[in-house]
Parts: sequence; structure tokens; C-alpha cells
Amino acid sequence: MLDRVTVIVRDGRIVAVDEDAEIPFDAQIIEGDSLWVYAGFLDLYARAGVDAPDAPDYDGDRGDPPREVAGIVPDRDVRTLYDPADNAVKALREAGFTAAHLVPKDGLFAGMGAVALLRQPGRAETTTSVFLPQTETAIAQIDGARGVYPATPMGVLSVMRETVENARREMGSREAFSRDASRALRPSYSPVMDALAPVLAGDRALVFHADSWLNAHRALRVTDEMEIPQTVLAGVPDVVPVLEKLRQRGVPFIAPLALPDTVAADSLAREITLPPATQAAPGGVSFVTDRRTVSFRDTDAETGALTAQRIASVQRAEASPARLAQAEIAFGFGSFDAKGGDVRDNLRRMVEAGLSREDALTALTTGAAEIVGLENALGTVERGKLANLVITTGDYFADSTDVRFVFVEGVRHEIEARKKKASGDPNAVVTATGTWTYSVTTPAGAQTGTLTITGEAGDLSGEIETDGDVSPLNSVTLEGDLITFTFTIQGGPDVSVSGTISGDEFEGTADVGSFGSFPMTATRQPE
Amino acid sequence: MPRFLSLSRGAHGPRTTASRRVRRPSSVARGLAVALALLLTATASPAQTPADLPPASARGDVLIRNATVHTVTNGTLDNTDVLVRDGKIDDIGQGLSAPRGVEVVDATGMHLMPGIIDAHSHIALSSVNEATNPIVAEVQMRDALDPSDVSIYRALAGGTTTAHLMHGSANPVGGENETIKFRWGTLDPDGLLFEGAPRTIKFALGENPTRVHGQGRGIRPRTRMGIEQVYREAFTEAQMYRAEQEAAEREGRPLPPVNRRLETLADILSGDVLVHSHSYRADEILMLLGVLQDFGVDRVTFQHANEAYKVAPELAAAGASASVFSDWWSYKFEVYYSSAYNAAVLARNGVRTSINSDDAGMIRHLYHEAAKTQRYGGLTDDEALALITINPAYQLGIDDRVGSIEEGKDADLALFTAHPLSVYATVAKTYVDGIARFDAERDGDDQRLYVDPDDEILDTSALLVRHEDGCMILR
Amino acid sequence: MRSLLLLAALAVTLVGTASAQDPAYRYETGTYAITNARIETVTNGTIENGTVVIRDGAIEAVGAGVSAPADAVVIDATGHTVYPGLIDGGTRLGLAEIGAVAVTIDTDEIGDVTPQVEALTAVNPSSTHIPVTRVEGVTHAVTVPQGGLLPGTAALIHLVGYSPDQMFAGSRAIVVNFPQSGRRGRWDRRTDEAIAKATEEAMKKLNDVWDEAVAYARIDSARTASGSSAPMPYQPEAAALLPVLRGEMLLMVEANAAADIRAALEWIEDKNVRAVLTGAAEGWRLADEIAEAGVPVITGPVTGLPTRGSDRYSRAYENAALLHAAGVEVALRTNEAENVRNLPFQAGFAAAYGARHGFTREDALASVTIVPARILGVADRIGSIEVGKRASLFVATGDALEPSTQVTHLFIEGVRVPIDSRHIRLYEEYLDRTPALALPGESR
Repeated sequence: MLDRVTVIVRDGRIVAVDEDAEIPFDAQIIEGDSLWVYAGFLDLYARAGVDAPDAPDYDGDRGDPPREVAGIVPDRDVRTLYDPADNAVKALREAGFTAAHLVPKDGLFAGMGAVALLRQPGRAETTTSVFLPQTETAIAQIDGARGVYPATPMGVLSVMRETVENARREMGSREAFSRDASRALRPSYSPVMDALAPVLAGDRALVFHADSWLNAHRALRVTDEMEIPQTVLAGVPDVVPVLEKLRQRGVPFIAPLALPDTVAADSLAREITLPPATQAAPGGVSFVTDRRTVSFRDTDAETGALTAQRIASVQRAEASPARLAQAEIAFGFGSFDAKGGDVRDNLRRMVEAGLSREDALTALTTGAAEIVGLENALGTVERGKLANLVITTGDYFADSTDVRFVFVEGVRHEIEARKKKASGDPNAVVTATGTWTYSVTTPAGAQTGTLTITGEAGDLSGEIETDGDVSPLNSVTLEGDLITFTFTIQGGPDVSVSGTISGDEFEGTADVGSFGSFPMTATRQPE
Repeated sequence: MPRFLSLSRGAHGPRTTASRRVRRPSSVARGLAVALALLLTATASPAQTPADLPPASARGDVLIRNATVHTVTNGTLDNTDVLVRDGKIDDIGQGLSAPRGVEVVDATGMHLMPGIIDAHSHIALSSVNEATNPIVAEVQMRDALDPSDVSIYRALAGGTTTAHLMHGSANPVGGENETIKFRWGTLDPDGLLFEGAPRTIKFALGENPTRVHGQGRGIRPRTRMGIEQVYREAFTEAQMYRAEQEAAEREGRPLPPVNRRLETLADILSGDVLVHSHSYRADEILMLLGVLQDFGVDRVTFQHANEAYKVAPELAAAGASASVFSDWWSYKFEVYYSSAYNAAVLARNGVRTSINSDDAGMIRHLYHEAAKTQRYGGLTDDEALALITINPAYQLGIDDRVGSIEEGKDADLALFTAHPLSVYATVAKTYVDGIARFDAERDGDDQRLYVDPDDEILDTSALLVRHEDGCMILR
Repeated sequence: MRSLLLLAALAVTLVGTASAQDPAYRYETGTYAITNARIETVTNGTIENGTVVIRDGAIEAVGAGVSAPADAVVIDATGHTVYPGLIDGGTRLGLAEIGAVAVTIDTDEIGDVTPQVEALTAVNPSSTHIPVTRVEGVTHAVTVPQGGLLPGTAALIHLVGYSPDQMFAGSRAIVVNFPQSGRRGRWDRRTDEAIAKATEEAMKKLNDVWDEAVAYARIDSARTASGSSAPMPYQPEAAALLPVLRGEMLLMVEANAAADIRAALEWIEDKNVRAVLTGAAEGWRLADEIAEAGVPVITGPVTGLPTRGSDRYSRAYENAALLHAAGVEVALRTNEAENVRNLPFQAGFAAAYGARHGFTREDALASVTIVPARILGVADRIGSIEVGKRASLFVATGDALEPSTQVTHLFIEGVRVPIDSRHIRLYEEYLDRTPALALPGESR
């Protein structure tokens, strides 16, 4: 880390990183006093802005569908499906991502991925010019076709093996034909082979997306069997069960930036004082940490256990990157289906779960660049590299830090300051009870309704009206002027609200899990 | 106008009183304490693999002393010791001494038998039927293994150590099966593989494939007549494929495109893959025997085979095997003319016979299912025990490794508190490769290896009781 | 010891062959004396070397000192044991023939509330399942309509007879499938709210039906009191529930998940009816509450799977024992149609895994004999070997719960029933088939 340095960017390149660099006369100056400059981040598995074309209509023989229906489309090129103006791309950029390995969505050989710079094409450029050349990958996943062959994981893996074997044979045929056309059959045009040949020749990585540790085991075995020279595994939320195999095989990994929603120690926890973990549990039963001694005669205990298992599952996902770093497995991050707006929070959770900031940063920058072979162009703030920079008000992983500017190949994007998460004044004295009219601003417009809070300080409860339904509020707490509570939309997601009260005004945010986080205001109605 | 708080369209009405009910503080506290306890464990070993379960590669040493030993192949030995070294049965005798560091288990009054082998199971699988095509010889159970299925542990608790995981019966040719050992504790599917077990393939005759394809989709086969032709056509195509391939090799031409379906069928014809065919009626059993004879395939096991007893002499003459239910019948028309005496008739007619479960419930008490042949046909202890040990081992081609208590064989063993054919017997310990993968003394609540946090607590499917073959899970 | 039993078993099988060659089932009645037998009376301990005398369909005498009457057919049961006929507390016997063939299944009538449909009406006396079942010592079974909230009236039948009425064994019960508050299975994708709503609706429906029946009962009582000859309104559902409301008929309340059992117990208390809890798969979780409510339980199958992934592997095996240990009166059921014959083995499993909870082999035997007889209100007629009871009993080569045991003689309601069934006949035809039929056939 360098202090008090000047970074000079010209024509999309970094031309100087120095304490006393001479500032060109024609430069725009960003006063970096107290600002931090990071190398732009690289998203290794992004579907942002990638269109998923509808599967072709098909009502023929379910046992023998055309390859497009079966999902054998390694020739499908993400560059033809990408829209750089998509809002999801903007959200990624605002989180600090300046480049992304974009991938097509459906199919067992889903197509070709490629790395793009996350900016809009310039006026003189074509749409595809934001892609970096020679960054193509092949995307594989255990994704069964709907109701046609191959519909199951075992069908998918079988088709993969056969497709790869035949691509090899066709390569052999072509070679034979070019050696001596008179002795060989004329090879025919084969887009599948053309797309897979570089993978089999070791010139292109096969990025295998596995959505579970079980599929990860399957992916690693099938790539072994198919003798794929370069495999990258992507997407497993809990990587621990497959960690040792990754290490042994030297397979790099793309960790998902999506995390499961945190599970509160929940309604069971709310009404009681937590006993110290070492203390014998009330009720006369000693719940030592050996779970074999736990007896589930009591269904509440079992519900508690399930909650604990859910919490543990979330924790495993949060701790996965830390485990990767510990095992010294090369890894980067991919957004997959994560919302850009959640990425920083999730990274922070991973850091809290034991991933060092250095390792996190490496995975976002140089580590990621190495996995896609772009370490010469991306990943560091270094003279000669592409001017992909993230400029923040402080440590990227700190909650209070804002991303202020993102440079993508020298193109400056100023980031609107995000709505501060309410932190509150612990010494303020306010009341929360009463009937409130609230408004939540969402991309689809404002949602309004009534919010009622009753009870005494320390024992608050209430309900909220959403779209005609009334849901009870959970975990209503008021500390100083900071009020927080959660509720569950009927049959929908959990929402957690936090914000501050000043007089009869509330201002804060409503966090709707993977749907994102939205500004919320409320006004207390006169009695 | 989708708005974020309107995501739950269609779910209206008041919340349940149950969810509002105030919990009693004491049980709340207990619940939380359990939650905390589990949390601590979970944090200590994030993979949720209980630390005391050795890896799949482990091979154990143990001296089991003074048991009644049912060798199956060499009679019953009273007050006998069995020494296990490095996962193999090292010595069988009386007064054996334990080498240094080898654990001694006092089995006085207990009965030791070979680990039970289930020749037909669908547990530990995340998919069973690739039901989109009548012939899918190329798909493999190995690709669908799920080592975290708690059914494995429950089966171990019934003395079962090996299972033949089969495809379903939606298709005349369902794909290659997998023979596994219950090395409970690993999350690596490959850890379960029974190394060196021969390849086997699932065929299916009768109502299931005709229902799925003929009735369901209007394609062949819709009748038992059609099923015969489906096989003959597939085998003929495989012969042509193999011939073409061999010609290319001979003439040094580049190989034609591979077709793994035909490749697998051709491997059946060259005897590299053992046929296990779902079947019920006597006529369809004879049909497949005829087809296989015509194509030179001489090793076949008829699975379920409820009417095999009617053609026992033909099966015996052909050297074909049968793997049957102890007593299931009448759940569909083709098993209406069954007899619980099926296994006994087959055994007495010299047909190599096993009793299988096809079911996550029954795999826990195959010893009891075998015992029923003493009621239905009066088989001897050795005959009855052979039905769940050496005979299924033979049918799976692993009888040189497991299925009896003999020196040199794998130490896959089940230690019972009483004679295993007695209804009062329970399992004390089950060993796989000499490792106690089930131990009644160390049993407890929640033995799952990996908990899917999205699972419901209550598995109400367990509350439904209707028999059918477990082969028709369409996934 | 075991080999001796096996020899005996083989001998018995051969004896069975002789009678089975007769193409028809021949039933005999008369006076019988089973002598030199070990007699497990169930209610009065075990008698060694005793005699049971059967006359006019009833047990005339039991004891060690009893001698065979001169007119009795003597069955020398030396080395054998006599047991009361086994009673299965819940089956589909006679209502379901071939599982996958819908037209042979008479268990589920259309409509959610059909308490007036009678299982007994549709019991097929010629069902192949019946001889297959009884030759294993199961002489009685409750056969139960399925599906819906109030699917019908269950009936206790004995397993011999040419008409349903001949088979009726003196006990009927209205069946309630108590509303399930949980998911019905992995395939059930309803939201929690939708499930809660459905449960609530089902509860409301159940209570509405009940209220109607109460109103109907009041009118009926008033009508009787007034001596009116005006006809009662035609309300077959309410009329069917009338005997239950008046405490004259048993209510069988099926509930399996812990929460549902708890709700069912509250409901039973609220309605103040004579009820038995059936299923009760998770009964062990609230055994004390069930015991306190004083509601008996018919549970099974014992060899079912645990209801939760987190349950010990043995929970279903132990359920009966854990209930029994809490003081609940427990009977067993197979919940089967074609394999009701497994009832003795189900009892054996309950004993094997119940031992650790103090549930003995005798407790297990009682749970398939006298206990269900008591619950069904027929303990004065069946369920044990006692003088005056109906002669439903069997002779076996050994422990009736052991698979190696053979049933050698069978009496149901005093009728001597041959040890014969289609399974046995197929066995006898095919055990040594070849010499009997070796037709060459023409070549194709």
C-alpha cells in the first residue's frame, strides 16, 4: 500500500503511480485527499446484462431432441447476448467491478464466456469492443433439459462425455484429412467441435459451474475423465466438502458473491437471555457439544436445532472463501445471480468470517486476473495497465466507506453516495409507539401503508400493512433513536427494517434479502 | 405493477394461530441451548462430518471374540474369534490373541454374520430414472450418488454394508448401476465405490416401461411383444456399431463418432456388463432369457421376478439368477399371482437367489426378510442367510470379496445381539472394511452428515404406507 | 433347537399339502380338543402341557388338567403352542385387491365427509388376501376406509365367511382423518400460509359436521321423547355420527405428526367422545400427554421409517414401546392390505427394539390380541384364550412372532380353517414342477 500517491491515467492506461508524479496540464484532477485507490475488481462469473434466449419450442421425440433443446450449445457466444447498458452491470460497477467474465446461462455446454470491461462502448466502438480478445472460456454445468433428454444429472454427464469424445475424434479426422485428404473422410462443419477444440487443446479453460458440493464432486470427476487440461470450478456455496480435491488437483475456484440470507437466532432467542455457551442448559439436560447426547423429545429443541443448522449452513457459506485462502487454492469471486448492491455487504460478511482483507483483495484483483490470464492488463495499480480503478472514501471492506469513483479503462464513473445505513444516536430519547404512514421507494415505484407499533420500551411489538395484508413485526428494538424490526411478507421474503426516529419522522432502509435494499420513510400520525 | 412488498400475491389470510402461540420459556431455552450446542459443533467442524468417522479410505483392525459366527459358506462356528487386519478378515478360530493395539470386542452371546448385501436399492441417489428415452444404456448411477443420504446410516443399522444402486424401471434399458459400500462418513461420492465390482446394467420388462413409453407417450414399447423387439433392435444396432468400429480400427481409419449408448450395449454383448432385469411375469422372464441367449449373453439376474418360481427349472438350466422380494405382491396386476414361497422354490430348484429391498425402509431389515423364507418354504439357516450375503454377492460379481466370513475377504461384518434370523435380533455393530460404521452404543439423534437447511423437519412421506416397486421415481 | 423346529416345520408343510390338494377350501365345525399344548392365554399366563376344548364355536375349557371330551376331534399339539388369533388394528383388508388397478380398490369414496359409507358393505369375502393372511394366525382385522376427512365407518372382521355380514366381528368405528397441519410430502409445494389456511378450513369443516350431528342428535332425542312418528330429516352423515355422539360407537382419529396428535387430543377432549388415536407415528414425542388424556393408540406399521431425518433410526420401531412405557394402551396395526400377514413380525419388531424401554415379548403379543380387543370393545369375545370366549385361535410350532415358526392349525369363530392359500397352492404346484409338465411345444 502506498500513501499520498498520484495516479495518472491517460487514454485508458495508467501512465504513472508516483509520490510526486508530474500532473499533465490537460488532466482532470480528482483531489485524492483521504481517498483510497484500488485496482478495479474482476468478476469471474457474471450473468449481468446477459440475455437468456428462450429455449426453442419443441414437441418432437423427447428422447432425441435437437442439440439446442438438449442444451449442447458450446458455440453460443456470450458476446452476442450482452447488453452493457443493463442496470445489473451498473450495480456491479458501483460495487467496484471494472471487468467481468460474462457467461451465458442455460445448457450443459452453455456456451462461450468472455471477459468484458464494464463500461459502455464509446461512440466509435461496436458493442463487442468492450470484450477483451482471447479471453474465451467454455461453460459447462449439470443442467438437465426440461422434460427431454438429458433430463437428469446422470443424463447430462453422459452427454458431456460423449460430446467431448466426439469432438476429439473429429479433431483427429480433420488432422488426418489435412495430412492426406485422399485417405481420410471429408470432415464436416461442426460448430460444437469448433467450440470445444480449443478447450481440448488446452488453449481455453472449461469453467464448470456446480451449484452444490455434490455436483462439484461430479464436475471434478467428469473433467478428470474427459482429460480437460484446464478446469475452473465455479459456484459451490459451501466449498469445504470439495476443498481437498480442489487442492490436490490444483483447480482454481470461483466463489459466489451471493450468500444465503442471514438467519437470526430467531424467535426462540428473542424472549430469553442467552446462557453462556459453556453453561449447562436449563431444564436439567446437559447439552454438551457432542450432539449425540442431544435428545429431541422436545419439538422446540428440534426447531432450535434446525435453526442452528440453518445458521451453521449460512456460516459455512460465509467462511468458504476463508477456507479457500487457508488451503491456498487459487480463487476469485463471481457475482452469479447476486445483486450488485449486495456484493459489498457479502464481502464484508466473508471478511468477518475469517477471510483476510488482503486475501479478499487478491481474489478480487490479481488472483482473479491470473485465473483468466489477464495479469498483465488487470489487477494492479501499475504503470502500463488498463486504467481500471476503484476510488473509495476509505477501506473498501469497512461499512462506512463509500465507493466514489470507478474508472473503467480510463472512463470515469462517479458513484452516487449510497443511502447511509442508519446507525443512530444511542443517547437520543424518542418513542416509537403509534401509527405510522410509511413509504418504501423501490425501482418499481413507491409502496405505502400503515405501520403500528405498540407496547413499552423493551417490549415493543406491532404490525405492518403491506398490500392489504397485515404481518406482525418481529424483534422490534429501539436503542436510542435507532429502531429495527423484521417481518415476513405473506408467503414472501423476510424484510428487515432499520432506521432512526426524529420527532414524528422515521428514515431508514428496508432490506428485502436478495431483492435488494430500499429507502424507507415514515410519518407518525397524530393521535 | 409489481412492487416489492407485493411479492407474495395469492397468499392471503391471517397467520396461523400456531405460529403466534407463545412458547413456553423453558422449552424455548432448551431449544436455544440445543441450537447453541449444535452451533458450536458446527463451527468446530464446518463440513458437519462427525470427527469420529474415519475417511472412506480407512481400513480397520479389530478382534471380535467369542461370537457365534455364521460364515454362510462354511457353516456356523460357536464361540469363535474373528481377527480383522487392515480391513480384511485375517484369521478365524478359537482363542486368537489380539495383536498390539488392536481393539478387542467381546461378542459373547452375540452372532456375527457377513455384512448384508442388497442387490436392488435406490437409496443414496439424487436421480433414478432418465425416463426420456426407452434405451439409455449410457447413463450411469455413479453420476447420481449422494453419500449424505441418511438412509445409508439406517441401512447400516440393519447390518447392510453393500448395495447395488440401480436405475429405475421406466426404460427397457435404464443405464449402468453402481455397487457401493456403505462407508458412511464421507461426502465424496467416489468414497462409496466398491472398487473392482463389475459393471452391471438395469433392464426393465412389463408394466412399467410399457406404461411410461407406450401408454404415456405413444411410442414403443406399449406391449410385452414390443419390449422384445426393442431389445432385439438395440442389440442388433450395437453389433453393427461394434463391427463398424472394429473395421475402422483394422483398416487404420479414423474412428466413427462414439455412441456411448451403443458402446454400452455392445459391452453387454461381449460379456463386460452383467444384466439385471426388472421383471415379474414368467413369460417375460423367458422372453428375455431367449433374447439374451440369441445374442450370446449368458449372465443375467432377474430382479423382483415375482413369478420366477414358475420357471425355476428354466432359470436353473440357463444359470440365471433371481433377486426377489420376500413377500411383496398384489400392488399391481403383474404381481397378483405371486407367492411368498418364491425364494424357497427358486433356491430348492438350484437357482442362485437373493432377497433385496428396493426400498429405504426394507433395506434396514433384510435379515428379517431372509428369515421369512423359513416360514415360507422352510429354508435352513445357511440357505436363508445366503439369500442376503453370498448369493447377492455372486449376482453382483463380488463374491470373491464379500458375502461370507472367510479369511482374506473384506471385513464387512454385522454383529447381532441374537440369531440374525430371529425377530428379536438387533444389530450391535456393523463393520465396513473393518471400520465400525454403525455402533448401537454410539448411536444418537440426528446422525445426518450434511443437513440441507431448506429441509422440512417432518418428512411426512414416511407416514404413507403403500407398497410399490421403488423403481418408478421419475427423476 | 432351531433345526428341530425346522424339521417340525417341514413335516407340517407336508401335512398341509394333503388338505390343499382339495380344490376348494373346506371348513369344518365340531368339537375339538387341542391336547398336550403349550398355551399362551395372554390374559392368564402360559399353561404348559394343557388342553383347549372348543365346542359350539366357543372355548369350553382351558387348562393343564383338562381332558379331551369323548366326542372331540383330538389335535395332539405336543411341542406346539396355542395362541389366541391375532387382531390387526388397522388394514384395508377386503377393500383393496390390486394396488395399481383402481377398479379393484374400494377404500376411497368420493367426498370429504362420508361417514355413512360402510367398510363392511364392500369387504370382498373372496379376496385372495384373506386366506393368505389368516394362515399366519391373523384371525381378525379392522378394515378402514381411506382418504378425506370422514371417509367412512371401519369394521372389525374375522377372516372367514361367505358374506360380509358373516365376517362381521362386532365392532365398528367412525374414522376421522384429523386435519394435517404439516406438508403432505416433499412434493407438497404449498406455502406455509396456504397449508395453515387449508388446515383451518378442514378443522372448520370437521367442527361444522360435528355441530350438525349434535343438532341432529338433539332432534332425534326430542322426537323419541315426544313419541312423534314424524320421520327424521334425511341427513345420512349426521345419522352415521349419532352412535358416536351417544358413546355407543368408537371414533378412530388418525393423526401422525406430533402437532396433529396434540390438536387431536384437545379435540377429542372437547368433544368428549370415546376415541382411539390411530397412526400416531410421532406418538413417542408426546407419550405423556397421550397417557394423561387416557386415549388408547393403534399404531403401526412398526417397520415404518422415522418421520424426521433427525430421528434415530429406531424411532418407528420403538414407538409402541415408548407409548407403553408412558402408560398408554397400545395396539398395533400393519396399515396394509395384502401383507397383513406380517402382523406377528411387526409385534416381534416392537418387542426387539422395545426391550430397552421395558416392552416385553408378552406386551407385544398383547398389543396384537387382547389390547386391540379391549380398544374395540370385543374383549369379552376375543383376544385371549379363556373359557367362554369365541374360539379364534391357532396352533404354531413355536413362538408365534418368529418367522421360523409355522402355523399348523387354525380356528376362527370355532370354524376349523384349512392351512391353505393361493400362495401355498402355487408353492405346492411349482416346488417340483418339471416332471409334472414337460410339454415340448412346436418350434416357432
